[in-house]
Amino acid sequence: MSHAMESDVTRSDRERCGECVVAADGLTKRYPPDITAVDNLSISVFRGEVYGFIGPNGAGKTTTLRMILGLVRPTAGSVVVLGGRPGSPDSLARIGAIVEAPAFYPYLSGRNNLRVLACHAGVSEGRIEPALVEVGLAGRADDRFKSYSMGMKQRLGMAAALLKDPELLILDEPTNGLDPEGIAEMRTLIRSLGAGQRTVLLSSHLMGEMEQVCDRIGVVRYGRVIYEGTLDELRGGGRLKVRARPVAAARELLKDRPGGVRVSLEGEDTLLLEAGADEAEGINRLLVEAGVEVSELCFHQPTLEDVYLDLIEKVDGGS
Amino acid sequence: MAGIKLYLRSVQAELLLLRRRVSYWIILAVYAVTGMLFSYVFPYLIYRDAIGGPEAAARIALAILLPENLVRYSLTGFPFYAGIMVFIVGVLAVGSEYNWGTFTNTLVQRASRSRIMLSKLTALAIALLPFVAINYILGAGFSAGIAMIESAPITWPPLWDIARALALSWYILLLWATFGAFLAVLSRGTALAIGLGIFYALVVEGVIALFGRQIDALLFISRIFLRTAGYSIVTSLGAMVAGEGGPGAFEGPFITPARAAVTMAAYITLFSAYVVFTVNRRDVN
Repeated sequence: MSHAMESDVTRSDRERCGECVVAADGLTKRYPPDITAVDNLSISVFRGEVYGFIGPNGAGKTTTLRMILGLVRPTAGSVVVLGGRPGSPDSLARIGAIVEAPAFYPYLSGRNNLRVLACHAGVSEGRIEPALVEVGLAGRADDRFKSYSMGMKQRLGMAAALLKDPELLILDEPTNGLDPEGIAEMRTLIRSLGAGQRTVLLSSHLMGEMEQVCDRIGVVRYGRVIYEGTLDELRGGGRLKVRARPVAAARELLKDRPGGVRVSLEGEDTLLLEAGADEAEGINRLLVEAGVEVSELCFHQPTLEDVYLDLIEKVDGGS
Repeated sequence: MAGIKLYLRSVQAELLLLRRRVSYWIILAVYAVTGMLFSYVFPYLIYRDAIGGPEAAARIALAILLPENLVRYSLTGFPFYAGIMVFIVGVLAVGSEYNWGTFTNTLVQRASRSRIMLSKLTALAIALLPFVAINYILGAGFSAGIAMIESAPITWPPLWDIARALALSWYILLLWATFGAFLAVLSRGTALAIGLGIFYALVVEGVIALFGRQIDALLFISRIFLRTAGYSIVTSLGAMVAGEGGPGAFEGPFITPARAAVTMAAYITLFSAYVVFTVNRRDVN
């Protein structure tokens, strides 16, 4: 057992954690002979938020989640989960989790699979039915797990995660295998679950989904966190797109504008301004009054996918 | 108290897993049917064929099938034949968790890894009881039936002997089941574990015991074999194992029943400790 896992949570860990539900500090996992799955990774997940853990396949997301759950022991670094040691009965009692593909006993029904988990969790079997209803699986709960579609397996995984009515939900790729309707339902469910004091740590590489449900995100690449913060911080304030003629005159006017904004040329007659949507009216007036023809003016907010790809490109370019 | 209650709920979960598993019932059924065929049906047919031959030989062949020899005769099937069957149950009960990846789910519930593995071993130990019971119940039925057909007296062994035989049988099966669990954890699955276990039981023990008759060092090794311990302990109840041929035959070496009991306890402890300790320490990927 590594020292990091064996020792009790130190005072400094607790102070660092504060309102943190998960505080990982310098987590590293190496596999022989020389594979580093997670490399000095630090993240903080705060109570009540939906935290998105984003990264390409093989970035180290699942290994990190396994370390948070105590399934895998870190080679170095430490993690505090709900104020305790990862994998301890006290912290596990307050965590619901799906890690990777939902793995259940194929010969048991969905309901009996949940009975097994409820027994191990020390949870009343009375929790099973509400969990099944919540994920929309009550009608097929008595069918064998091996007869389930991938979407139904994901739902059962979600029901298992909800059995303990957990403070912290750790969901690894929960929309894998779901059809569009299932994805939308899962999104709504995750949003509702994260609405109160419950914390959700969600891992995915589906940017559209993450963008719609997450309060904060951590971007992982090659086992390292390359960004952690809110979505707005990551996306920046957005940009105004202005199609104007003559474009050179428009550019000069906007550069000389009080307060000054960064202006860049995109294409032959389009300018991109680092400005908010609330500034569009003033900019339009300035250009028109100066005799510049404005044929298009719109606010453009980059998607999470846009900024994620930019971020990845920068990291890969710098490495 | 709360800890015991939680532990019992984990045992309940593990019993549910075994109870609902078709392969468990198939192994039990195959064991029951083939066990009775090999122990009673075929030997009785051979006895019927032997009528008309030497009277003494026929009388002996019939005697072992009658109720008064139920304990001595039934015990012979446990050290190897029943052992191999429950060895497979032990492998499946633990190794399937690796095949299905279900440890990822069960080990993130509230229960500690030690609690889950101990409850798994406890459930496995309980799941051996039907193997013991069915062997003696069917054996009693078949032996009584043969006695009636042959107009022989139906005399049962003393109750104390039956109770001791049941306990010894379960103890032997526990040895093999924990051996199965041990190999399942060692190999992180079922296929290799079953292959290794059967190879060990059928080939390694047999061949080394054979050479052990001529090589002292091998004789010493064969005295600590699982089969040696099992066959030696059943001799304490007069089981007919040596030199009589048939499915329960064992050529030795034998050790004292007390030493066999200690050897078996050591193996059961070693196998169980390995299972709990290793699952506790290993990463679950």
